[in-house]
Parts: sequence; C-alpha cells; structure tokens
Amino acid sequence: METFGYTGKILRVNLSTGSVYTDDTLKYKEFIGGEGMSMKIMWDEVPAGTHPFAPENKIIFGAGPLCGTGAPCSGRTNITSLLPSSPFHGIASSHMGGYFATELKYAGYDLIVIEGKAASPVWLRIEDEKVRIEDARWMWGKGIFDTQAMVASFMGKEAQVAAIGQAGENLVNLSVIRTGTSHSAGGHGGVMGSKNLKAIGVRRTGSVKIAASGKDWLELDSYMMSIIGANNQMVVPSTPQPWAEYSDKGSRWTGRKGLFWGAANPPVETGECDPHDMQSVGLRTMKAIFDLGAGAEKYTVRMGGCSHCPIRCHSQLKIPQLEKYGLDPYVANTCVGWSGPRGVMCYGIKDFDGNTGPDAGIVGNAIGTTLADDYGVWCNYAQIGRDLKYCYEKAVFKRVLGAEEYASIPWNKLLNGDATFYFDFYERVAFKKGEFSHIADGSYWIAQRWNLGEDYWNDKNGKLWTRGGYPVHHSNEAGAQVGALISCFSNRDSQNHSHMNFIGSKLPVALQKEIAGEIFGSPEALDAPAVYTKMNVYKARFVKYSLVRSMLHNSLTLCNWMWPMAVSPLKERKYRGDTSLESKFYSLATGMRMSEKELDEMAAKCFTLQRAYTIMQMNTVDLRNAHDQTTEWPITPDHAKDGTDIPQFTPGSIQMERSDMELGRTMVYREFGWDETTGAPTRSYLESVGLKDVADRLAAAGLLPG
Amino acid sequence: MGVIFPNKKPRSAEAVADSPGAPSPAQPAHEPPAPAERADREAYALRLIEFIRAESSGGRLTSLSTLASRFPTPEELSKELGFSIASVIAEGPDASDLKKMEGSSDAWYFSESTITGSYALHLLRTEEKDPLMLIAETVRDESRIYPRPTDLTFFTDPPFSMNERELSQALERMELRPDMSDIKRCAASNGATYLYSTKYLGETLAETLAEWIEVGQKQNP
Amino acid sequence: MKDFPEKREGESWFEKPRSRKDFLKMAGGSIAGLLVTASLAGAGKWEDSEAKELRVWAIPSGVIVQDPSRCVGCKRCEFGCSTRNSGKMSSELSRIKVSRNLNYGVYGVTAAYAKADGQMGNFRIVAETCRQCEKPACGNACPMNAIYADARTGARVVDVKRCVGCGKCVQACAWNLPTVDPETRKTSKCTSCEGDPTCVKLCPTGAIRYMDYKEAENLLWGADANSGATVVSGATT
Repeated sequence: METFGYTGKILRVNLSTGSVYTDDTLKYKEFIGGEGMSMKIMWDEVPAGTHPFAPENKIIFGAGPLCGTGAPCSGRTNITSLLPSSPFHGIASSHMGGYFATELKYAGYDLIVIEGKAASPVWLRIEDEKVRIEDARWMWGKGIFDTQAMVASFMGKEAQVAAIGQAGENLVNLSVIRTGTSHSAGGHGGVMGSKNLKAIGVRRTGSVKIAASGKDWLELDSYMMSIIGANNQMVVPSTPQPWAEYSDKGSRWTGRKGLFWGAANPPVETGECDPHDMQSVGLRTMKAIFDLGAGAEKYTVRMGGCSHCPIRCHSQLKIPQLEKYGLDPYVANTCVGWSGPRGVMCYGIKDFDGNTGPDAGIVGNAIGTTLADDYGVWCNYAQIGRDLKYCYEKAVFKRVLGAEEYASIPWNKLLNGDATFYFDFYERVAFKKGEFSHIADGSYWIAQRWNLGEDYWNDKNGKLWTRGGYPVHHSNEAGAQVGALISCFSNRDSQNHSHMNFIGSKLPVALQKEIAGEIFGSPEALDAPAVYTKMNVYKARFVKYSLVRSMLHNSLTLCNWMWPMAVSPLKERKYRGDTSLESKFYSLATGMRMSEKELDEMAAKCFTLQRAYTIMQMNTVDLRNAHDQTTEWPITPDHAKDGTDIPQFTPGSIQMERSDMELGRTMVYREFGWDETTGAPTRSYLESVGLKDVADRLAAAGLLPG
Repeated sequence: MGVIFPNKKPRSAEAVADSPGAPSPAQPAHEPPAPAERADREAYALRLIEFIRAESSGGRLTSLSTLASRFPTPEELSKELGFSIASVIAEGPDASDLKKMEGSSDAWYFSESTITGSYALHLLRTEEKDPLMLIAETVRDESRIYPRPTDLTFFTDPPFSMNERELSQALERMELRPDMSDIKRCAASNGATYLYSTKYLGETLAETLAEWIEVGQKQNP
Repeated sequence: MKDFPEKREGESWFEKPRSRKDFLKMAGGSIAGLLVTASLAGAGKWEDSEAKELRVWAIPSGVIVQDPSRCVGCKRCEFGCSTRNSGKMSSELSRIKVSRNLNYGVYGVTAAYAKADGQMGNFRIVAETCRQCEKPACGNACPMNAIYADARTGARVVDVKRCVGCGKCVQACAWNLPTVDPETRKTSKCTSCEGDPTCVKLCPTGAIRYMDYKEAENLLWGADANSGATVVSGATT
C-alpha cells in the first residue's frame, strides 16, 4: 500500500538477540512522527526506573513525514531516549542535522528503534531493506570522523552515518551522537555506547512519495521560500541595505557587499541578498563572522548545513594554523558547537605565539571544536566550561582530586590561554581518566559527587536554570516569562527556538507587538527587551505555542532553529509570515488534511505524553514543585551600584519574580488543560485526546492529580 | 580558474507602497503644453526618470543639480512658463515609484522599487554633509523606532562611512549644541560606546540594551 | 570530416521525422560550422567504416553547469528535480547528482579523506550534471532508440514508452548519470526541464546555471573546467 510522507515502516533492532524486523508506522500516526512517536513507543515499552545504560532502555532515531520531502529545513534527526545526565534519567530528546534522517527515509524507514545490548561492539548497516548487524571491533576506539569514513568505505561514499566517539563508548554522560562534518545530538552518546553500538550507516535507493502533485508541492515550496528569512528566522539585515527598512547589528542576516566566503576558490561574495532574490537565500547567513568574529571571514570556505535547508548555518572553515597542532585544517560547526568548547578555555585563548586577539580565539576555538567533535563530547549547552571555572576557582578540584592528579593537570595552560589545554582536557573526559573526568557527568551529578553547595546552584554566572542541572537556553532574556517558563518544562536545556524565531526577528518592537497581537491575542504577549511586565494569559499562550511547535517540529521533522514562520522579510506583507505552513506541508505531503489548530493539538498531546512519562519517572504528580521550578538567581532582584535591590519589572531588569512565575506556571497548565495546582495532566484531558490508557496507568500508580 | 558565476545584483522591480520619505512641495500650476511639445517633454522626462531608476538600482540617490548638469534642459522646454525639472518628472510618464526628498540645498530622488525610504534617509543625511545632524537624527530615530541605543561603529560603516577623526570631532561639537542635549553616551562592559536620545530612552534601559547587544547576545547564542 | 552525400528534400535526421527547417532552427545557432552538416541516406543513421550504426544528434541549446565554489550541499536541486520529473522525492532519481559526491568527493573514501573533496574533507562539493553530449553515449547505446533529442532544446530525453529499463544507457554514460527507477523500471535522465531547469531555480546560492552550450563546453570539458566530470576525465581543476 502506498504511503505518503511516511514510508510506513519502523525498523526495530534488538541487539541482544540480533533480531531485525519492521513495524507499521501508521499505527502511531496520531503521534505525528519523530519525537511524538518516540514518546509513545517509550511510554509503551520502557518502564520508568530503567537506567539509560540498561539494555532495556531503547534509543529511537526518528524522522517524520516531512523528512525527505524536500520541504525547506526538513533535514533533522530526532533522537529520544533516557538521558544519563538528568537527575532522574528523564526522558529527553536530542537532535542532529546533516543528512542522516533523509537517507533513512529514502532507505524506507520512518524510525529506528534500538534495544538490547550487543555482546561485543557492532555497527548497524542499513541498505534499503537489507539490514545487518556488523562487527565493529576495528571501529571501536576510533574517533567519529574515522568511524564515518570506515563505514563509508564499507557501504559506499554516499552512505550517511551516525556514530559515537570514545566518549560515548566510555559511557560519558555528556557525550554526543554525531553525523557528518559537524552535526551533534547532545546527551545520548553513552546510550549507544552502553549497547555496544558504534555506528549506524544508511545507504538508500528509494524515494519518499507525497500525496500532492509535484507542481503543487513546488508551489508551496516557492511560497515558503518567499517568506523565509535568515538563520533563526531573522528577517532584518545586520547592516543597512537599500532594500531594507530596518537593520540590526545583532542579526544573523549578515550578507552584504564586501563580505566574502574568503577561503572559497574563488572567494564568493555574499552580496546584498535582496529577499526577493531566491538565488541568494543561502548567502544571507554568513555565520562564521557572527559566531567567531570578523577574523573568520578569511577562513570561511562556505556555509553548510542540513538536507533540504536553504539557510546554511554551519560555518565550514579552512584554518591552516591547525596543522601546527597536528590537526587537519578543515573544521565546521555553528553556535554552541564553537562557544561550548570556547567556554572551556574560560580565561581566554592566546595563539601559538602568545598573542591574543580575534584570530587567536578562532584558531584555539577550532582546536576545541575539532576534538569535541571527534571524541564526541557534549558541552551541556556550554555549561561544562562554567562548571570547570567554578570548580577551579572555588578550589573544588583541589578538594576532590588527589594531589597527584591535581598536579598532573596543566592548569597553567588554562590560565595562560594556551589552547593545547584542550588536548589534555578532552582526552581525560573522553576516556574517563581520573576524578577530574567527572566534570562531564552533568551539573546535577557533579553537585552530588563533589558536594557543591547552594551557592553553586544560585550563582548567576553559573547560569543553571533548574535543579535538573541545565543552563539558560533562551530563558528570561528571551521574552521575559515566555522564555523563562519554556525553560522549565524540559528534562534538559530547553532546545526551543519557537519563541526566538519571532522574538529575535530584529523588527522594531512596536511592529513585533502588533504581530504578537495577531498570533496570541494581544500585543502584551511580547515584552520589549528589558522592559518587562507582569505575567498575563497572552504570554501563557505564547509559551504553549512554543512548547507545542518545538514538539511538532521534532516530530515532522523540521528545524526548530528556523520554524515557525511568524514573520517574513517582506515589506509588502507588512513582515507577516504564515504560522499555518507546517499544517499546509503536512496536509499536502500525507494527504491527511490537518488545520493549523488540529496539528498543534496533536503536538500538544505528544508533549503531554512526555509530561506523563516524566511523572512516572519522578514518581510524583507535583511537577510544579518537583520539576518546574527555577534555581534562585533568576527570581532574585538585581542590585544597584549602591547595593539596593532593583525591583523586577523595572526597565533595565530582566529578572523574574517568584509569585509571578508561579502564576505563569498556573496559566500555562491551564492553557494545556492540565491540573492547575500540580501541572500534571488530568484524566479528562487525557481521555479527550485519546490517551485513556495513559490515564489508567497513571491512576494505577497513584499519579493522577485530584 | 576564473569566476564562473559572478555575483548578480538582482533588484525587485515591484513598486512598494508607503514610503516614509519627505513629501515633495506642491508644483506650481500651469497650462499643459501643446501635443508636439508634449512628446519632447515626455522624452526628456523619461531620460531623467530612467537615470534616477538606474542610480537607485545601484543604491544611490540622484540630486536635482546632477540631473540639471547631466541632462541640460532643451531650449524649447526651458522657455515654458513655470518650467522646472521637478515638474517635468512629476508630470512625466508613470513614475509613481519615484520619491523626492528635500535637502537643505538640493533635492534628491530615488526609486522606491529599489531603495526603501529608511535607507534613502540615511543617504540623504550623508549627502547633507552635516555630520552632527546625521548622528543626532539617526540616533533619535533608532531610539524611537526600535528602540535601541546606537553603536558608534554604525557611523564608520557603510553607508555613512565616516572616518574616526570626523566622528570624534562631530561628537565633541555635539556636546556644545543645546539642540542636541538629548544625545547621551553609554558604554558596554567590553568598551563599546553607544549613543541614545533621552527623548525616547532612559539611561538604565540604554545601558542595559547596549550591554545586551555587545555582551549578552554573544553569551546567549 | 567525412564526405557525406547531400541530404534529400524532406528527409529527416532523426528517428522522429522533422522538417529541415526545424532542424536548422534547432541546431543552427550553436553549430558554428561543426559536426552535423551532412545529409543522410536513411532515417537518421548511416554506417561508418566499421559497419557500426551511428546516429546524428543536434547540438543542445543549453546545458546545466554547477559551480563547486558556491555549492552548499543543500540538495534542493535534487529535491526539485526528482519532484518535478519523477513525481517523488529521491536523491537517487535526481538527474543532477550531488549526494554521490557530497561527503567524499568524486573519488570516494580514501585514507586522506580529511583533505580530499567533500564535506568530510575540504568542503568542496562537485555535482555531476548531464553534459547533453554531442554524441550521447546513452542515446547511442540504447537498443530501443528510446533516447532522442528534444525538438526545442536539443536535450537528450527519454521516450518512456520505448524504454525497457535495460540500463545500457547508465553503463554507457561515462558518469553513470541516467538512473533506472526501480519502481517504474524506466530510465530517467536530465531533460533540462524544457529549457527552464528546476535545479537552477531552486539553488539558494546561484551555484547552478543553465548555460549556452558553447559557453559551457570549457567548463565541462576543457582545462578550465570546474565540474566533477572533468576530474573523472582527467583534466585538472
């Protein structure tokens, strides 16, 4: 039977028994795909209390119905499993870009569900319907780049590979699964390692079918391309341009005359990038100078990214100086793929000759990024660097490491900005050498193990957002309570840009408020930067929209660093976007007509399922107090120079306020239809969305509210 | 190996509504010219209009004085009662995309199809050769529209491209101007200097925003 | 150049009967004194000295060329091509081939992959595009004469009614560019989308151009060539 959007097949692999079989995707279609379906499978099959490294845990690589259709920005892979760095091993998803998910779809699979544990290192070889579990003994111990090359040498140069490095093999909590040159999914590397699964290779000859005609599909693509902006859907250029009414130096739309991909052969000028010019969409986001400073222009070969994305937000650099350090000159990444490692060199970076300055920072940073990407070490959204600094400055290392181990660490390199510190740091972490390596356990576990007190959690510079051990990630600095509340609802750093792709558009605030009013019911949904107001229902709607859309994107799969399209760069559209695009693409692809509201409700149901699973894992219905609280510093007023408090909601302050946040939680719970006291899903809500079985199981465990 | 595909400079040909450019003053009424003369008048207007559009495609304004020197008016037309280049353009073939801005000593044209009113205003202020007004007015606009303080490097980068000496001299002189007393400075912790207008932004907010732009955004990628 | 007999009035150069006027219209602009000036004694074929049948092909008006310095590996070209031309999304069926060279370049995985072409090396992505060869090996190899030159563009296109999916075109092509669709058992190849290539329109960096054939010759074949086929053919980049 022909399926549209979906391939119709889930690949199931049991590494303990070696059995490989397929299951029917469409029996889970009410959970959309990707993350939604993964939540359902985990709910059904992995009991709460399972350890992430136990064979009974499952790890699910998910694509969705839009993956492989060519819809703009539809190349992401969702990975769902239990998270080793979480205090209660919370269910969580990580994501990687690149080309893996589309290859999986063309090979004929919507998801891969992996369980069990192989007796010895293996890799999974997928070539359309031929799926084999292969011996990985010669790959085990290799870095991720070599591993991918080895798989491709077996399968052919077109194979796309997901792999772990030594960090994942050694069950480091903060480890990644990676694909391609620069795409990392943070947190689940050890889960693959615990299963003795080194890599997954996919080679395909198939296709993805859509219900609509090719003509209609290309028309919708063309419409979306007219609305799309730059990275994070910023729709304003960073410099004044003749075609633009506005400009903003903080914008990722950095393309302009005189700005080049300097290491291309010949150099490629990014140019004016008029939003009507469809052949310059991929030139708008010259991310290298955004992430690394002006000095990165000359190193930039091109911008890269994920399958079927025109934006290209990964900087691909050639840095010849890396060869002095014994590394290959080619390095690529984006955002925290750079700043995470940079944060490890917490006292700055000097170059080979001892100079500081922008180029020194770039070369040194690239060493860290290369090593992290090869060993497969995660940064916990840059938290690892802050934890390192804290533990050094507060003499925690002096206390917990033996004298010999302490003396063996090249602290002088760290203090002097010598980037060769990275070689020592990443090796210790990836191979779990010594007590020091526990810095990569995750903040909660570090705090436990090394008895870090309350001042660790309440240090504003430490940026820990919740007691789960995750940092700020577009939190109170992103739309006041909107970002602050979004960050409370995940079991990891929130990985949510639904709100950023609107708040960060760089349009004038008055215009954004107008648009917010159209989407959420009132301009009060959006506060001006640092001019914060008290909580209101419109902000709660904005929070729900953001949480729901993130789940939706991770299920379809679409890139949550671009979608939703709340705004556009077009003056003739008065900068309005189209938030119904997800449902339009979904309807045309699958043939199952879904309105914007209906699709959002499906995603809300998936998000509620994640909530229900979290309740089972935490064994409490009171998520408000056990899960959704921030640490103290976000709700503490700033101090003026004379030491007096600056009250929250004073212009210039971005601090939140305790009771206001509690009100915010209540309002968000209400938006979702959950119990307003605890934040737990109610039986009536669960039954209304077809999750009666979930309600029954929660009730049996005494975990339904009221 | 040469460049295969040199960068294109495509421009949208769509006319765009609602330019914020300065309105042109009312043209003096006069009798319409006779048919034969009208053809010459139209041909002349078309040359002017096409030149303005071509310049606009290149991101440039066109002044009335430039038009007058590049396209000397034909004698028959210059004898018309109430003749002006501006009226020729205004009454010429459809030029609804053309906008006119009055400067202190000249007037400036652009096509809205290829330059927005905001950008044209930046260019106009540069053409006026009054760096103090350029800085003050731009800072006031930024403080009002976005609202945000303005980084000093905004003025040394295109399209203003002031040099450092020009900029620092202008800033010193501005401090002596009572009509510019609303323009204040603030600094981010990395040393970057910003300007803001107290008409639209308070000191604390301006400082907070400058710090966010310079430091906070980079710490929250 | 061989001494060919004069073409008789009303005779066609191709399998599909065409008027002389059509032929000249199609080929005239780009020929520049080359190749097909001869007349035929039959239905577009004659025998050479080795008694092998040859067909005569008009020069295409345009050909698609990719610039590796601008290609960002987004694969929108592949998506657009397969959607428009096969009605489904498939890198395999795309007539412009990026995926095959994306990670490790034209030559594939080597021990020195970290500095070789491809995303995993020096980031250079070389797409392979149909050259619309003057003497198309695909068309000449087809036992069913299912590949012919389009009347308007000269692009070498597939008549799916005649195609039996034998794959000889794939083997014959020096770059294995035609692809047999395993679902339909018909081959597929670049048609230049009737002179308005979809890949060109969908490329977000302007890395793909539809160029005049003569202009493109050097880029595809000569010493200045940028594209992957030229690497295969031995010319340096």
